[in-house]
Amino acid sequence: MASSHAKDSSFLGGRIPPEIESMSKNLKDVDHDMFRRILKAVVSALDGKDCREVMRTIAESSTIPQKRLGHIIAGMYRLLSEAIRIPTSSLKQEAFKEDLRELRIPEDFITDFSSVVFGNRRAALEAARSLNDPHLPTIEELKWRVDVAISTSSLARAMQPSVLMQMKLSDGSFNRFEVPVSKFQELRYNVALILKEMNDLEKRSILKIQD
Amino acid sequence: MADAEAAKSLSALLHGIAQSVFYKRSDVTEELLRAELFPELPPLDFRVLHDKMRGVVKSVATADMDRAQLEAFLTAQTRKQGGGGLSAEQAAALSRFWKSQRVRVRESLLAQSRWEPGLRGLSWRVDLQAAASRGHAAHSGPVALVELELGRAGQDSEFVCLEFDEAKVNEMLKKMADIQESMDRLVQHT
Repeated sequence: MASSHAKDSSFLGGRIPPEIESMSKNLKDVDHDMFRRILKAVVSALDGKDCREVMRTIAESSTIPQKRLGHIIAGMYRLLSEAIRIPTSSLKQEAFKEDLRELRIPEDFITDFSSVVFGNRRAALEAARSLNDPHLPTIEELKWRVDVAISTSSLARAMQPSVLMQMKLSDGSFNRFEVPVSKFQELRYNVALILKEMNDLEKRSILKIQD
Repeated sequence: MADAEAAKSLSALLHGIAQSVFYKRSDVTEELLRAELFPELPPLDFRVLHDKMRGVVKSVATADMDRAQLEAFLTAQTRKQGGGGLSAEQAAALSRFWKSQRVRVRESLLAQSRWEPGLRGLSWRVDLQAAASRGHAAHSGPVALVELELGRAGQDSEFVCLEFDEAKVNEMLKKMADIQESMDRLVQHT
């Protein structure tokens, strides 16, 4: 139809990823029930859950050869990953459905795909996906203690306060270190400065990065 | 004048002793000090001088004497009969030495009782996440990347890199305030 010629290339880009091409070829042998089972497992995987057991059950109860099943699952996973990556302001539901029709995916399946990408589970999936982004460890827990060294083996009268900190990081590691009073002031000042910078950043319109 | 020279040598000896005993300079040996500062003195006589000076310096340092305490101590030492006492010149040299080195010596002694790595410094930057390979960037706000420099005395630093979102920075700031409050209360009591 005339409208499809005026349309930009698919949301999948100029070249359709091979696993999606392969999936679309194999989907015609899958009944709706089986499709829904696989879709459920794939969504669960996108959510970050371990679905090896579920996949194993599907594989065992299906007549589809394992290799083809593998292609189908990989294709569905990739399709949904790519769709969720794009903000809803850029990829509208109708355009998404059109793109899937071009891949010759059955209409029923398109509806199911669409309800995952544009339904109310979307936000949760996005959050789960962003956990995979590269990032540095964060502080999970910070414990502290203020000590005063009254006397030591080297100094009879020390009377020296210091702060002992123990950090537990998100990667499971621990760091314990001492902060002398002067360094503590520097630390506190810098943390306050960081917060100020973050607040300033939010006030500036640069934060509203549109695509 | 010979006196000025003697005073200089004595001062240098005290500084040399500090280098060896407090600042961990193992290359500053007794033999080196003798050769550099008192070449004419027989080794045995030098040893007596060296040990006496070292003993006094250690006593003063361990007690972290203030001016009054030092005065009293040195006076008592000069009044000592026999060979164990200090001469007036030696007392004067010690007084000058402690005036200039007290803070540094105290710091190095405190460091000897610190067994955890210390915070040496930190640097940071605030980023705005624009895109990510998997996730949806629009949900992120500013992200602070912080690098902490930690190290034990005499050892190389270890660098720990962390990231914080705004909520986390707020949480940290609140903890800092709690710590400050705790320290302020300490000062009131002591």
